[in-house]
Amino acid sequence: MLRRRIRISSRAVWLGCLVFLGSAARAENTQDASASQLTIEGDSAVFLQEQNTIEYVGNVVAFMDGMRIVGDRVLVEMNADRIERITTNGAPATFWQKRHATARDTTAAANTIVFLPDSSLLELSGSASLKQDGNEVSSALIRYDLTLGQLDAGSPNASQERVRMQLRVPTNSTQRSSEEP
Amino acid sequence: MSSNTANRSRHPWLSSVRLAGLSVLALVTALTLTIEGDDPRPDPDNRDLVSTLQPSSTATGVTWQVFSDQGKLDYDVSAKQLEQYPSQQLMKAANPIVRMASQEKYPWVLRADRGVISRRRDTLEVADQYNQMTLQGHVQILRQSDTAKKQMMLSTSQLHIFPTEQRAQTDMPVFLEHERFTTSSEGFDLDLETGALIFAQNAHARVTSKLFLRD
Repeated sequence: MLRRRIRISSRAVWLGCLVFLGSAARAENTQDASASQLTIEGDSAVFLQEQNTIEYVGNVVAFMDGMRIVGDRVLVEMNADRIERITTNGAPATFWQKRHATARDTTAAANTIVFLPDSSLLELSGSASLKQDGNEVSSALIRYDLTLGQLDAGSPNASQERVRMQLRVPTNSTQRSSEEP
Repeated sequence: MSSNTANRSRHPWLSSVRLAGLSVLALVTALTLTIEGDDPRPDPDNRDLVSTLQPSSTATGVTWQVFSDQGKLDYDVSAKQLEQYPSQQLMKAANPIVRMASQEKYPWVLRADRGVISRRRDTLEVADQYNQMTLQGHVQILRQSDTAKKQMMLSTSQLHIFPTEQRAQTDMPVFLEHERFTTSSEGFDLDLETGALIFAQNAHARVTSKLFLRD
């Protein structure tokens, strides 16, 4: 009986993981994460030609088709060829990504959110949390692929907070029994 | 016919007395104007006003170079026409192009429809007799690289330049074009030495940029 319970609960967790990562893998087709234009609005800004940076301060919103990052301060770092990195700081900075009609939107919060346009990667650090389709991950560091909707959570060093994952397990008995072998 | 003639003669404006009065008035006015026109001396008060409104000297197709104490070229102004108004301590330039040298960096090129070169009221230095430029109309600020590829261009409708401080400032709407982004806002402060461009917070507009993530 106990063995059966353990087996059921482990299957539920495994199922939860599949739901979480599966839904993530079904990346947003409707939203174009590789959109080529990002709009940033702020109360004030400073462009430093020598450093090739532009920094926005005060109620900063960065958005493009189906994605939005909000924070107190956004730093855009460029090189000769491209926009290299967009760093948002806030207390916390927040992220929102629209998903397809059947899934809930992806939201995230962290002290720092780094957007790497070249790789369509988002790096959330400092009390980072990400909620996707009802499942929530919190960690010191979360890497999220905007195109694939996949995430990688961890800590830069062992002393920092451990990864915490809350999975939405389906409660429908019919569904559960049909998924059991 | 006779009835028409009778009507005309009764018309108040065509009475002979009124016609005579109007003729006298016109004659007096004409004489007065002739007498005034014959006097070659303008009113002394107006003479001063006229002299301040007239340039003391004008030049066309000019280039004006300003050097630092060390003999280095600080900036030059070329204009289609330059008018000098010494009593107001200002010069007016038509289609001015200002080139400002930046230490070991690419120069700034500032163009406008018109410009006024004047003296700041808060300065006492005689050497800084003309230490402020105000460009108006379609103002463009350009910084080019050695490859002649556009690095950045600012557009606005009015710009104050303070050459001795290496600073340019406006409160007007501004549009910045860069290879990787565009920005619109109201007002900026530009350090012409370091290239630092500050879009300060103001009540009328936020700073809005569009970043080009891909080519």
